[in-house]
Amino acid sequence: MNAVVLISYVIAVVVPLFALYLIWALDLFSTGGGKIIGICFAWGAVGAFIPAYIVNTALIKEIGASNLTRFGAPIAEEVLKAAVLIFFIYRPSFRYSVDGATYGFAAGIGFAMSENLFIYLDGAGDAALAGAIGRVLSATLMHAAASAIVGISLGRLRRAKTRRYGPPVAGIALSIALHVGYNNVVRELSGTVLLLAAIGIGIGGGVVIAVLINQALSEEKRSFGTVLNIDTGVSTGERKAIQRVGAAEMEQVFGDLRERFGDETTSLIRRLFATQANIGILQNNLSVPASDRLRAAWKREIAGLEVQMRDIRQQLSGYINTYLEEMFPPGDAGLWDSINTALGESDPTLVHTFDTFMRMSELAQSFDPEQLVAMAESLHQAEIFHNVPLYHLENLSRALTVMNLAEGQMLFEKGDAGDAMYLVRVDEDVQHTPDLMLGIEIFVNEDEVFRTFGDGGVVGEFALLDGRPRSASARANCNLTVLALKQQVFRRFISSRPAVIHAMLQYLAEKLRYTTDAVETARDRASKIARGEYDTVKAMTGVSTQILKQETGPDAASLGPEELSPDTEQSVGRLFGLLAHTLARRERQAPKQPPHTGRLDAVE
Amino acid sequence: VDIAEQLAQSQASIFKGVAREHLDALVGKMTRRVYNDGDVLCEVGDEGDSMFLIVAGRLRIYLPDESGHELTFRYYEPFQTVGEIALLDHKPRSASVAAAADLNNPGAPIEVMVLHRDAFGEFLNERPAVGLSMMLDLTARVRYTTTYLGKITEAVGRLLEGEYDRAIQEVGQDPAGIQEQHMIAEFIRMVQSVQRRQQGAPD
Repeated sequence: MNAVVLISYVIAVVVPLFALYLIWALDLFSTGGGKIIGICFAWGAVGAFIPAYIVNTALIKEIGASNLTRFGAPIAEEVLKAAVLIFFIYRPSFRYSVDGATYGFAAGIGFAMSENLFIYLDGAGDAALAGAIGRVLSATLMHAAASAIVGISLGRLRRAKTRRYGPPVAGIALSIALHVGYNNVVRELSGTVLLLAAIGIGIGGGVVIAVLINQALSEEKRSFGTVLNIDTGVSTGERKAIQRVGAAEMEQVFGDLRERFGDETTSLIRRLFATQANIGILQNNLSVPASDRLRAAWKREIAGLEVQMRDIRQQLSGYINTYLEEMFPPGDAGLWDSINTALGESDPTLVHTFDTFMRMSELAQSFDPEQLVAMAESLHQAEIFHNVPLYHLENLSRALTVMNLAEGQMLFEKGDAGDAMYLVRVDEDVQHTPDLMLGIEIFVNEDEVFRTFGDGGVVGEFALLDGRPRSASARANCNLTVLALKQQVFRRFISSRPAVIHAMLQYLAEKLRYTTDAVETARDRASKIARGEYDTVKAMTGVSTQILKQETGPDAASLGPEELSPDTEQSVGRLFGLLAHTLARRERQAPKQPPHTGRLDAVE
Repeated sequence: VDIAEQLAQSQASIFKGVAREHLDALVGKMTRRVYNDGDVLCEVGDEGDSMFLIVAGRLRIYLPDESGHELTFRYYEPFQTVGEIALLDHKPRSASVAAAADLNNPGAPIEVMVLHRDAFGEFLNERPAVGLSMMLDLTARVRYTTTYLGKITEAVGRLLEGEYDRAIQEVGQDPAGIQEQHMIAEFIRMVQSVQRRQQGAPD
């Protein structure tokens, strides 16, 4: 074997293997993975080639070499190559019609490789090099194209809702026709003309596949369009006005995608959609007035999301990315508005529905950036927002609504639903007596105000978390303004912002620690009093009897979670200290008396 | 052992209301550590940055006193969590924690799953819905305990006025939380012994 022959053999093997490698490297398939592609290739090279060789050898005796090449062989070979496609396409896990084309392509190049090696190069001698190049470029393409046509038509039949057998029959007929055409042309022509014609037929096959794949993709797109209620003849603007994709429709879309690409890929696609949605939402945010700090934070978040999006895209195959761009074009604002809304409805933690709500309701423009900065700083003073970054609070402040209260007017009454938190604003110019703090007074009994929230104070923060009825009443003691933050709006805000949720958990953990400490203290003091250790309990308060006697304990009627602090435990301790003091005195005054009836002596 | 399942059943855990699939992911964020009897996991005053879930053996909670003696408060058993609140707030540890051998199996090492605060933060970022449900659970817990503290305060007020029976009524029925149950039980015991003492009955 000389060098020229060797080179032609190498070309005949390397080029088809390279084509196979391309399919694998570009991830040009979604179902079954690279293994199936390999099996299809092997089937073409061995499983289809050997019986085809036997059949052809038998036929040559019956119909002669000419007829065999022109008609017999194309029919036999196409049917044999198609056998493996039927097997793989009808497996239950086959999800995507275009994969049929990929399988066919692999089977075709496998068959062509064997045919080139064992039929055409075998004994071709020095003429082998030119033959190899011509063959590899044309016959391989023809074989691959013909089987790909069969594959895509079988795939479409498999995925179609109604079974129509016309297209797959036409598909196999077309593949045979292509093969017959090629073989006849190759027989009649020679030299450069032959080469050009052969390549032309090969490329023609490629075009036919492209058209068929395109058709399959439009079928898919139409089915999504029907689900999402998208009438393709309508402009984006009109569509935006009439179209309302709900969570249910969106789930149906994800259901379809899951069927095609499986669970893992679909959850990636869901994340991709959510990321894309959030980028759009934040970019819209940038078009409204906001402080530099808030804008910078939004830009930072966008940059972070873009990195995430690239990351997800890399995890998805190139082919699925193309598919998604084709099905859900990124430039279609109307479609994406609907997708965003639907995503938010099905899972509010996925997308920034708060920001969409701000834009749609046109609330976003009610304050200028300086006001937002000032409000954010006031909110930051409240315990509940202590761990929330200022830019988040600025964003949140956009949702505050202004309420004006006249002197003496009630903000809420005990027992009212706790559905909002209020930020108090008192005008500096309001006239008042020096010892009166202006603001919102909290009380249970009309004449016993136990707390006043002045300018910048935050009233009823726990309402943002649980909305329980108010445990006390609140009233304005001068003409003032409160900025209300509704629980509903707040929930919407934090849902898609884990950092803020984390800050809330931190706030709650602190409160929980205060209650736990206070409960432990109550338990400990109770057990000491039970044992008669009155002096110990008094001593543990760390204050004199004089101060103890002034102790009233945490105001039971008003003890809401907002009031919990490190002092709660101490004040529980003092309350028990006072109890110990009182009981000790009582026992000294009435030692070992007969059973007592009725009310015991009151506190001294 | 199915750690996620045990975590779900662990009574005091802040993860009580969290769905199974999420707990599996959370367990994935934990690291397994093995200790010998007496090994110290953290000391009082250390920055609390992780939660311990006991898999085998016990954990002893104690405070060293001035003379260097250790005052043991309690032991935690397998599948109880220690220091869960440290995941959320940044307070120093209120007591020291040491590994303690299982009484029935004194030679066996003590096995603990450790959840670091950063890993927990990562978990919350990936699953904000879990953070939301934990938030609601914690809110309810804080509200509930606050209500009971209010009741105790009211009841002490009654005692100061000498109304013993009303004080007991005030603290009410069996509360749901263990913490509150203990507090109420102790309170009622206190009222009863004070009553006995004042009525001249032997203590």
